[in-house]
Amino acid sequence: MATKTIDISNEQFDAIVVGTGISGGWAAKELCEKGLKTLVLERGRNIEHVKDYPTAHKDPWDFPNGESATRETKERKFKQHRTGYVTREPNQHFFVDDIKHPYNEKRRFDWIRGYHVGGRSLMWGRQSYRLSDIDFEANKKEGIGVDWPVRYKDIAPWYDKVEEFIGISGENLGLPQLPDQKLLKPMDLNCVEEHLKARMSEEFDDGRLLTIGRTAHITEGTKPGLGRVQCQYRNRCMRGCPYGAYFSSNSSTLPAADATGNMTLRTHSVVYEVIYDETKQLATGVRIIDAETKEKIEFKAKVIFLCASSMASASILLQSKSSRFPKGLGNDSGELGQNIMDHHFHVGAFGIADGFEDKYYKGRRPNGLYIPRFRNLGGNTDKKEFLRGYGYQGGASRSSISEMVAELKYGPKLKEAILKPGEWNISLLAFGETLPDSSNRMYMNYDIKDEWGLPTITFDADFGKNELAMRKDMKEQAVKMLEIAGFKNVEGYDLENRRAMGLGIHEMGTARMGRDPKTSVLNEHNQVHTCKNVYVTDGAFMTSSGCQNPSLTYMAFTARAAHHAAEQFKKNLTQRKLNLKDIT
Amino acid sequence: MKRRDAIKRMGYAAGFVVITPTILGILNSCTTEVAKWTPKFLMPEQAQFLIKLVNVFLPKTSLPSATDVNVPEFIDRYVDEIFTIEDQQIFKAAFSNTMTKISMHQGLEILDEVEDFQIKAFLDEHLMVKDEVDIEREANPDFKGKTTSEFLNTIKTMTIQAYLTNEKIGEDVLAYEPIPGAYYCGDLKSLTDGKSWSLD
Repeated sequence: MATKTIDISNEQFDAIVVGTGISGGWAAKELCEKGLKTLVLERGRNIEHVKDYPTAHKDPWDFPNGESATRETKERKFKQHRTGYVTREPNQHFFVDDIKHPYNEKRRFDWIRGYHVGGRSLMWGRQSYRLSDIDFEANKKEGIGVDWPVRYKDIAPWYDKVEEFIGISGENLGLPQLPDQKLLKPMDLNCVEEHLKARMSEEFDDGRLLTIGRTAHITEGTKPGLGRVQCQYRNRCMRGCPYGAYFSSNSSTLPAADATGNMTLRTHSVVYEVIYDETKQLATGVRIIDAETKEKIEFKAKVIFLCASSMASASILLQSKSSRFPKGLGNDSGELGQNIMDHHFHVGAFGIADGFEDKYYKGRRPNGLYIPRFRNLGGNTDKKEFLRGYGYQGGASRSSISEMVAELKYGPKLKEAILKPGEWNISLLAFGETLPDSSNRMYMNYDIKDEWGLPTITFDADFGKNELAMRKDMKEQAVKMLEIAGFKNVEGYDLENRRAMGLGIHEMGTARMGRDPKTSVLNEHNQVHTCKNVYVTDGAFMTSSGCQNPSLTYMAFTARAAHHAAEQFKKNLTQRKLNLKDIT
Repeated sequence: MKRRDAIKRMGYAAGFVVITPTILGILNSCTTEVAKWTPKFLMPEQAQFLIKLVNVFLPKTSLPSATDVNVPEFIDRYVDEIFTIEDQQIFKAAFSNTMTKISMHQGLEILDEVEDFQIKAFLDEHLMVKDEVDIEREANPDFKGKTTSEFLNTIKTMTIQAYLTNEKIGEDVLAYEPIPGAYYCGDLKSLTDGKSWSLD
């Protein structure tokens, strides 16, 4: 899909979509397919599916230093490097340079991101779960934050639609806390994971289960897009998939949008403001800076979709000041930029499995096991120490080097030993829900500007008491499950020094949905309460975080909001035509 | 110095990999082609010692030796391009210190002449294997640098990783499957004849 280089500054668009990631791709596809002439703005460079995945077929020996992150990368991408993995050679080129794209931290915040067409849909973790009514009703029941203005029945058909289009593999379990999905056939658990699963079902009476992760990979048939076929089990997803086997905007939604002929994609377009018209009480377009020429340009449209990522969309709204909105567009409530949530993790347990030495596996599975939430669901699952719950991801695999290597000093025997696989390791890594808290926030810093003269974001957020109390249980239960399975050297861990908000790369909540404009930014259709032709459909809209990986939910809400916007657009068009008839 | 102890379990989880595809023949190596290798980080005498040391760890058998697959060049480049400046300084200091120690240990005036049996005698005394404890470290728990044993074990680990991620080893010796097409469990013997997969 080619990016337009022609002059489009005088063109009138029906819709503008800001961002091309998980949510922007879906907004573009849905709006274009409904017939709206849509301008899609991306702040970074273009990435063409397959052609721009330079490392997709490289083996470790094809890199000058293996796959390790170089010192230069670690120095320039020093905040991205806090993850410990995104700066490695095969995929570091998809993550931002922290010196070129600075932000400020009143409290440590790990903002991990990529500026290019496709955004983080290229590098995401691909685990895909639905929220349930247990999630949508929790805030109201417990008096936390504000109530979601939607329930599961409102979003369920949109989950269906998204899942059928992108392809998600996994196993349905019929759990109220983890609704069934439209799933392709599941990937396999390996023999050690099957053993843990069997032991858990024998030993626990609180409903906890082990299943294979539900992941956005094609495991049977094909899916629409640019030649999307089945997963080849290479586990090199984050480099871009030449088979289009996992979902990305680049392979799936953007080609669909492009095929309509209604999309204009403009790269290197840093949106910094939504233009508000006081008379119409609507937005009329956006202002951008061309990242390369630094030229400032305005684009006009009837509908604006902000899909720039939770923090960037909030930043654009905060910068969109007018006499009507002195604190930023749609920010009458003062909630814009507040209630940042993420999933807290880096807590769990690991151990070693004996008795499977003659077993191995073929393939590199881009997926792991999943243990759905089993806390605070009523009866013997309730805990008084904390609200909400958590799930585990993890898996078992053999280490690449035999333990013999540690027992041998040197010589031919050592050389033989290093060619054999090592022991079976198993790990459980918990991902916990974070409660919304208005003191967890980001705001604009007008004293420190980036190279485009734009204010930078300052973060001031951390996990709270509920999350810390939950972590104790996350660690204890992981240990308990591995011990019950009979694994040896079981150790729990809670990496306190690595715990910071953002590291889960599920940052969300900065423009929450709600029923009341006094306490929320968006309504039940993802529209800004007080400027209804602006929709925000990235993670910013999240009213609570659940403990499920959130991208699928962003896609479903985006598709639903785009449908709503297109209906409104057509209604207004008909209305205008009727008005014209009245006049003539 | 070190002693056997059940307290300490050693880990081999270091996450580095790689190498160049060219064949490098140096000194003791049995390859006939002699390519030129100008170390980027190491001093020439360190490079010469490293060539001998890595071939003690992984000598030539029916399979290539460490130098046959460019392990010294890998280590030199890795320290130069991947290590932080601080880690480079620690590495450099530990290297010099270790070379001094082995010269004294073997009563050599010039380390250039060190023989394999002398290196082995030094490794027997200092290289830690499973369940051994580093006495030098116990005496100086806050020492920021690497003890002799830690340094030797680092070189051993780097040698193994470099060897295993070499193209020849990865594609011809280990079980290599760039496009598996499926994932399932099975018997080690029938899947890979007991070998590790080269890609994980």
